[in-house]
Amino acid sequence: MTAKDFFKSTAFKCLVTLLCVLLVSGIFLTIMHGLLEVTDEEKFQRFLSGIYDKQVTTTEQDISKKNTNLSNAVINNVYKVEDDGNYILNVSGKNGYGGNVLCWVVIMPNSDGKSVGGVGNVKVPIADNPGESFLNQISSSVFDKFGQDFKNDIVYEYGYDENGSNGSMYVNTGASYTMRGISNAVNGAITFMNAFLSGEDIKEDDPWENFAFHEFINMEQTSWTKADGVITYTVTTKPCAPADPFKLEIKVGADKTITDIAITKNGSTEGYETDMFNVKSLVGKDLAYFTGICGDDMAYIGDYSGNADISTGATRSNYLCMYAAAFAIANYDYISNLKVYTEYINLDDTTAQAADGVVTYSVTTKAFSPTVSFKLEIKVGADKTITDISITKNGSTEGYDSDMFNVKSLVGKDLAYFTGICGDDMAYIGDYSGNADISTGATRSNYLCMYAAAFAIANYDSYLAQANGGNE
Amino acid sequence: MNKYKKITLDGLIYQNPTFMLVLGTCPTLGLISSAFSSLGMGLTVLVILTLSNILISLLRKIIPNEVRIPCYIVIIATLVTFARMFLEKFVPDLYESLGGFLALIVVNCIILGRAEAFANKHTVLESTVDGLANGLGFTAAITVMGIICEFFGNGSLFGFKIMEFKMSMLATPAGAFLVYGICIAVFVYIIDAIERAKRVKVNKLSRENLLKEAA
Repeated sequence: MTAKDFFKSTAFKCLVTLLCVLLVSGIFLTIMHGLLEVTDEEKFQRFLSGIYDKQVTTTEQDISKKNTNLSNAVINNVYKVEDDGNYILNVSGKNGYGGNVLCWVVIMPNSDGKSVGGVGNVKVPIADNPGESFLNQISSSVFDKFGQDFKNDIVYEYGYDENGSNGSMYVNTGASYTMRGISNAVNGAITFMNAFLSGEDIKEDDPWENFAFHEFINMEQTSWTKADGVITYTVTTKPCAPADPFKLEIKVGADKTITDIAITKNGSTEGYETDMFNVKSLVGKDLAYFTGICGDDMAYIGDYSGNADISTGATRSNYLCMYAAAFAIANYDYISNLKVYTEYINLDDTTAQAADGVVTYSVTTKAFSPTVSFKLEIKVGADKTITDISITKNGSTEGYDSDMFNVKSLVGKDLAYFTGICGDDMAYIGDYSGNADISTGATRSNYLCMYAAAFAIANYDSYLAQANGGNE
Repeated sequence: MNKYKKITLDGLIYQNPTFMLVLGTCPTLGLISSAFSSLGMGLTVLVILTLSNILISLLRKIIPNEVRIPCYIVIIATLVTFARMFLEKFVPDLYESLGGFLALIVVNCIILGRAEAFANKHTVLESTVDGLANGLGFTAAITVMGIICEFFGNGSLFGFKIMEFKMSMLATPAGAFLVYGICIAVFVYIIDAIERAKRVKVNKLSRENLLKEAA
């Protein structure tokens, strides 16, 4: 085909027509977007006009120096309405159905202006929450309840309680996950404003707060295993510029001294690793040795001159290794007693007794809506398998208990069996289709029983040590 | 019969897109729990359908047959996007209440169906009348069902409380499905009854004429 033929062909005509239609459409929509765009300011004014009949003046508050990322919500903007002294917050409530739920919340301060005195309008624009597909199921009367139910110090509940009874009216909206996000937004707004009005700040949640000496430790990349009273750590430190992060394998014995230590990734600045101390020299050292050099808080003080143990020419690298060792020793007891797979376990109502190498548990699970809490008697033998298991309180939704698996089928199973079904973190993945062991028609009930069994096996060592008067 | 009258009656009654052709079911079932949303959706579809019919009829001799469907989709999508911008700017309440269904008008079978079945074969004037008639037929149908569902499902009408008694199930998509089915049955029954009455009348006249001739 020649170029002339191509330009006369139907294919060329089709191409040109399509491109023309697209071009004209694109230009038209671009112009219209410029003319009809609704700015954030306009959206905000619309929200205001939905609350106040008259024109009001607002001033945006400076929250840049405040902690706005709360555990249940993120505070995006705070405006003060000059006309009545109320505050309007733009808040993203966490854990909605499709992620965060963007809400507008009006907060009314107390007469002294130092704390929250009430909750006003709560608005959740559908256009800003495309992920919340059931949002229109929530009637305006539900939003009004926030103001009506407000009592001094929040907290709006949105789920089923431990016994499975309805925690509050907020769950009966037809969009309970979205409602959870909205409740979180309102709770977060109140928490933030209480701190904001009193001039304080909200302490950032530290999930590792129970660990000693973790300032220079990258906890996300640090793990440990326990066996025969020895804890083996894989520790990744944070950098101490110019030294980069170190990775170390550290073993701590029952006498809380270093029994072995090795660097698996050296973070020393190039050429400085040869100036470091021999890390093996830390074997046999206890916590007092490290705090004797670095102080009780193990803080980096910079000038260690005069202490030949650390000041070898690569002080920062030495410090990071010592810090990792101190971390390993200082957390020995805590980690020894640390329980795993506790997310769905009510630890306050769970007991364990050990005799002849067998740990007998009475485990109470948490509710997993719509399933309520289970109570189980579980025995774990020395080979870390289930030797006996029975349900003493069945939390299945009415009519579903008959669809559950036979819990006795778990006898003889080890931890690998449960993690093989639910994954290493034993998290609920929802879709277990294809696995007949758990997907029997009452998946959540089966899951809670499996979770309790996994909890019992995984914490066998810990409970046995406790019973034997171990590392409490 | 005047051809414009026929086009109008077809769109409104004999080929009503909702009750007779059962097209545009998705927004119908999703929105008829509220009369306001139903009316809003109906009017939005009316405008988009009429404009798309006009544009497609205007371009019917320019657009090659091979790429007509992609071109129609682009034109309809452009009109829907424009409608979204317009409603968000000037009628935000309606924009909020229509939610995701507004964007779904792009794939509404009525619009693409009329473009393909009518507008690309007829003049601009005929296509305009067809768009208006079908749009009105859809609007009337969806609004009537919206009124029924809101009245019995919420005890209100266009947001105004009328009575305390309500059958909440009718305000859900499942209830909407039920109302939709009943409405189709009633509509078809009425049309059928009218057609039967017409036939009886014609037969009666024919018989009388035959008897007259025989006499």
